[in-house]
Amino acid sequence: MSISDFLYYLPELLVVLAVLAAAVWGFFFLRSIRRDKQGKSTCPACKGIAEKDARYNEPYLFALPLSFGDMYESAERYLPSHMIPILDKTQIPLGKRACWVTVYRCTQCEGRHAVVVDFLQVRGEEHVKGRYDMDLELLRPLLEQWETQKRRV
Amino acid sequence: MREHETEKFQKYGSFFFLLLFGIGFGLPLLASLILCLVQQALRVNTFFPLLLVFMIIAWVSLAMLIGWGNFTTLFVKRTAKSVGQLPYHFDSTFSTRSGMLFIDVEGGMIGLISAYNPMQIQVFSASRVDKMQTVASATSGVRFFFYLDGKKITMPTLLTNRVVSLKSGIGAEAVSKADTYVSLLWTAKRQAEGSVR
Repeated sequence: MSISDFLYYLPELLVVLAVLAAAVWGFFFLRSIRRDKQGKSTCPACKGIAEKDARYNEPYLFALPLSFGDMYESAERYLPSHMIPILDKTQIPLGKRACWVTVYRCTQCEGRHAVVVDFLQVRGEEHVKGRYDMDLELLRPLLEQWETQKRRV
Repeated sequence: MREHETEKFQKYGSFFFLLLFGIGFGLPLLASLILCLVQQALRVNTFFPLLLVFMIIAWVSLAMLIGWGNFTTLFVKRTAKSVGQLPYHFDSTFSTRSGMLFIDVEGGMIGLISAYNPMQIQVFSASRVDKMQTVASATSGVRFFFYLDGKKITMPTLLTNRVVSLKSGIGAEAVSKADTYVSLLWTAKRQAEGSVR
């Protein structure tokens, strides 16, 4: 195949590559949705199936000092320094945001990670503002603080 | 009546009407005069058509500015700077095209700068507000309203000229905002009525 042949078929090749990329992306997207529906997650390290960690099995809820649609630049920098442990949704101040933290453990590499779901509570419904995969070590002190608070109550 | 409390709510102020007529009549008159004098053609058949054209332009512009809520925004913001001098702790503020609302929940007081009376901060006991409610519609937007001394004040949190789902991000935020301020007003009212008893 000469260079001129290659250039002649270049548009078709690009279309095929784009379709392949979309198919691969679609596969991973559907897989992550399926895992979410099963209550599982995808390990950020090895992309294996991660299940809820039995050690951190509580419904960790935290209030955020954000109102309505306020945004932050980096979730990893902002969230761990601004999350305030609360025990149930009635403690979320009016018009303020909150987040759930769920800890997952990978079934393949045993690695742990946390999934933070930032939401706004509107008339009993949770409107998700963002979903972030984070290193558990960033949030471990907060989870322990939450557990301490729960034991006191 | 508490310190700085306004006796009677005035939604419209004389400054607003002065500005309206100044821009609607005064400015076209001045512009027509200047143009005629510069052209050395100060005659009835030159001056009045020119005045009419300028008045049409001025009133159309005014209608657009008032409709968009930009007409007195600068004056409202300037007046709002002096809210800090009042002896109340207004910890919640809401700004919209019909004005600015300040709520001191613990003190049971509210402050209001009407867009149609932008030079005055009107302060009221929250016991004077009533019938606070959210109205949410996918076609006409989201707003909350309340009655102050029997006069209805509407504050939109979402204005739209197209259909917006109330379940969408922007719709839900607007509903949440309206619900929050309605709740704050009710809490301030209860606080004000409790302190009176």
